[in-house]
Amino acid sequence: MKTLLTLIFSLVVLTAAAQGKNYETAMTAALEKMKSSETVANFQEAANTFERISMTETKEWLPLYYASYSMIVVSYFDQDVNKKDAYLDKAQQFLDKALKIAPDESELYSLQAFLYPSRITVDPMTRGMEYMPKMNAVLDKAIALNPENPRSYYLRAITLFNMPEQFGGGAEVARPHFETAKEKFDKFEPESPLHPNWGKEINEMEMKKL
Amino acid sequence: MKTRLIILFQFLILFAHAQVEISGVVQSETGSPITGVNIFIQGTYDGTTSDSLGVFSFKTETSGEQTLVASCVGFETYGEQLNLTNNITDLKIVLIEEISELDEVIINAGTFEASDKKKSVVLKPLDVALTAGANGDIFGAFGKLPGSHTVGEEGRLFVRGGESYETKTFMDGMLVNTPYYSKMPDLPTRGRFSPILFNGSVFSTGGYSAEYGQALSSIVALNTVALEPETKSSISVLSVGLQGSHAKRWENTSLSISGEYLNTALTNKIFKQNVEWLKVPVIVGSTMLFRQKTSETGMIKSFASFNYDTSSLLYDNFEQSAFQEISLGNKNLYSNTTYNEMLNDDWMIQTGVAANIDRENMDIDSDNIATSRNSSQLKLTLSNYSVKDVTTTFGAEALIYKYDQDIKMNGSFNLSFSNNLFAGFAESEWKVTKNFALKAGLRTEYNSLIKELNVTPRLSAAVKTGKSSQLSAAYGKFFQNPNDDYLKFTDELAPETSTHSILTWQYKKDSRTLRIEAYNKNYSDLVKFDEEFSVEPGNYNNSGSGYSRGIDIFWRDQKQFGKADYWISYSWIDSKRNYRDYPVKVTPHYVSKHNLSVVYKQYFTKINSFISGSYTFASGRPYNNPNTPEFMAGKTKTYNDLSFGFTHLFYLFNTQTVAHVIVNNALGFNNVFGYNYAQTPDNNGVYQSQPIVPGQKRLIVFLLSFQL
Repeated sequence: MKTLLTLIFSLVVLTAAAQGKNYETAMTAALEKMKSSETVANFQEAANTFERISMTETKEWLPLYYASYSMIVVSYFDQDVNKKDAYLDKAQQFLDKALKIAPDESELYSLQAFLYPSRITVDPMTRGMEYMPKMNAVLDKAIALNPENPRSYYLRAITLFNMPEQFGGGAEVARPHFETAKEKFDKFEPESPLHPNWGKEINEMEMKKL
Repeated sequence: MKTRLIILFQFLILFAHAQVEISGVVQSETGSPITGVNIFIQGTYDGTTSDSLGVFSFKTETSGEQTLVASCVGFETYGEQLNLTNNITDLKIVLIEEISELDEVIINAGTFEASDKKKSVVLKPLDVALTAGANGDIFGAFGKLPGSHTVGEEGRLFVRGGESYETKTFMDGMLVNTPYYSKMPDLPTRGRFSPILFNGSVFSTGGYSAEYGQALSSIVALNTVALEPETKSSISVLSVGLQGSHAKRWENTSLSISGEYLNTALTNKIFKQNVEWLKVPVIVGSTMLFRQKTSETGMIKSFASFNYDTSSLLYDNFEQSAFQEISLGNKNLYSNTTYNEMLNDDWMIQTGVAANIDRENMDIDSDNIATSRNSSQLKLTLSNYSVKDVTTTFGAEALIYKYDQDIKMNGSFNLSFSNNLFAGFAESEWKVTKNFALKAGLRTEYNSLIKELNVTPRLSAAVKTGKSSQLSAAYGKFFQNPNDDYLKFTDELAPETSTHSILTWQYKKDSRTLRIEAYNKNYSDLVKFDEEFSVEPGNYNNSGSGYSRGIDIFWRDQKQFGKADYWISYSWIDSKRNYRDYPVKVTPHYVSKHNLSVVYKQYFTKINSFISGSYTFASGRPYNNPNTPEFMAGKTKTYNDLSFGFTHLFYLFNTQTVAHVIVNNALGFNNVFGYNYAQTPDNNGVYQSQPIVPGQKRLIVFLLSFQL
């Protein structure tokens, strides 16, 4: 009887562990793939993989985060204005789902601030006015939720950097934000290897352009 | 022991699966491969992405009955039951294209819509604000669209052979009774409201929805902006005055106020006036917008504006061969409050109240005419979405109108009337298939003054004729009460009537739009009279009639941001009517047979500048020359105008600044709108004439706006 219990117990633990391990393995593999992505097709594939994981792991926000992230990257790559909005609608869907799971996650608000500029590129004249205030609002929220999240500072810096001086942007205005971002990136330790940990290199690359 | 064996057995089963391989190809309905499709077994991680040839292949450890899902942006998600025992190869998956908003069939006969939310529209709100030659006037911008005529001495919208009073303006569904500033004889007026107040507008040149009535020709429906995006202020200095605004944003609430003072003294000095001003035009105005979000879908909007305009000039009244001192003063208060909300998944409520007080005072030498127009409106609309693909809207409104005119001219007279109008409407739109939509509506109106009850039908439909093209048709009957100028003398009149039939073909692909619209409009019961301004009720009757038919063509190529963007609008019209004191059926003086507008815009990103230009052409307009026996047989020369707008964005004193210059009639065409003739012939038996010309040949206006 004892053996039987042991067996059942070990079986349960084994299955649970296998499942957990399965999630981690799948996520790790998908992240590896996403990091080596170079083309629209690669990122599309990454987004698909994360979407598949997210459909099974309905309590995890990370697969949705990366599905959304990959889709946003696809939207930046694709020059077809008509398609951009479709990609971004999909990315927004992932993000909205993630926010339902983790409503106080700073990274998700940062990601929203990564999404908005792509919306603006579709029709800058009309959308700039609409999305710039929204973008500032989500970055404020992201920083309030976690002042140590370096991506919020990087996204603010790059937006200001790309904005014409006439509108209150430019290199000089962006510099302190890049510097704060660098400080935060240097100190940043992701919660787990699966948590968002991007932006350090690009932040430094952009700083060289200042 | 037995249990133990079972568990062990199950355990073995769990791990004893052989992998199954699934492979195949994903195609669209037309057979072309689809790339990037996410193909997977539902509930597992197992899956893959289709390659550039639509080909896919993946392994799974699941077995038995499983669901294979294929999903891709722009296509409907596909699901298929598979029995996974052996490898499945050569699977062919066909994905059906999702009907995106762009490809959807849309009933658009007679309608031009500007919106930044919907993608199916051909205009953006900024197009309305930044069209050269429109001077930042909403009605001026719509005047560059097919279906409207250029009537330079009016400044109001004239649509498809209709007079300006045949077009009604609505804000958030509520009637705006006096949308234009007051008007001096032979000089144009303009709209009271700034185009930046609106983020969507509909210009209907006919066949419009049963929600609207009391307009024989056309409606302009404007939607005000939602919550202000952020707290901000701005100050603008113009060569014709000052403007300022402040907006404050809270979480679910926003309030913005603005004020302006306009005075043309400076520009009148610089640009030679064809008018002798005794007091230059001055406008003082203020606007208030309050917004409160009541839920995800609910919003309360309050709008109020007050403006005052005044001017005085020496009018060369050629008809009476006398110079007259005309002074004009107008005070106008307009306010409305609307509330919209989804009550549940099936019902939406839209309701509002509006009030308009307009006081106009006109002095002609020692005579005085004081006119007051008060109106208030109550409206309730409910929309139902409970039946799939069907939207049903119905509602009711009450409009209380009071007109009062005091005339001091060889004695005192008072002319006044009031009319209460009650209307109900119901309309249903049914998307029968993704390629075919139908809309049918009814409107009923009762007028207390003329004691008329009428019911009018509205019908429209659209059918896709290809992936990028569609055919749309509309039919409707429209009633409008006779003008105040007649109702103040008699209530023995019936409403004027028009019937519209419209057929529109539209081709829209990527950045290009081509629209061709043919229409036929019949007028009946138009007011006729023997003598203008007669107080005799018997002088007026409803025996007038007329027609308009024509073709409107619109072409737009709206390239990506930073590239050229232009539209060409052409209208051909054949319109005749016998109304007022016309002896025969003729083309009225405000109709030009050919109207052409070319509007060009481009944003130069490198220099942060926006340039727009417009060219407008109108063929000659009829005028009546009493020296010839035939009525309305004269023809003015053609109208030409080339206008420019230049906007530059820069940083001044650490403040975001916009510099804006508009140049109207840059080439200085000498346009003539018509002729005024003396009432009596001179000694040689000839009626002398004088051309009606613009107030000034050229006009340049500067604006410098600071965003604080």
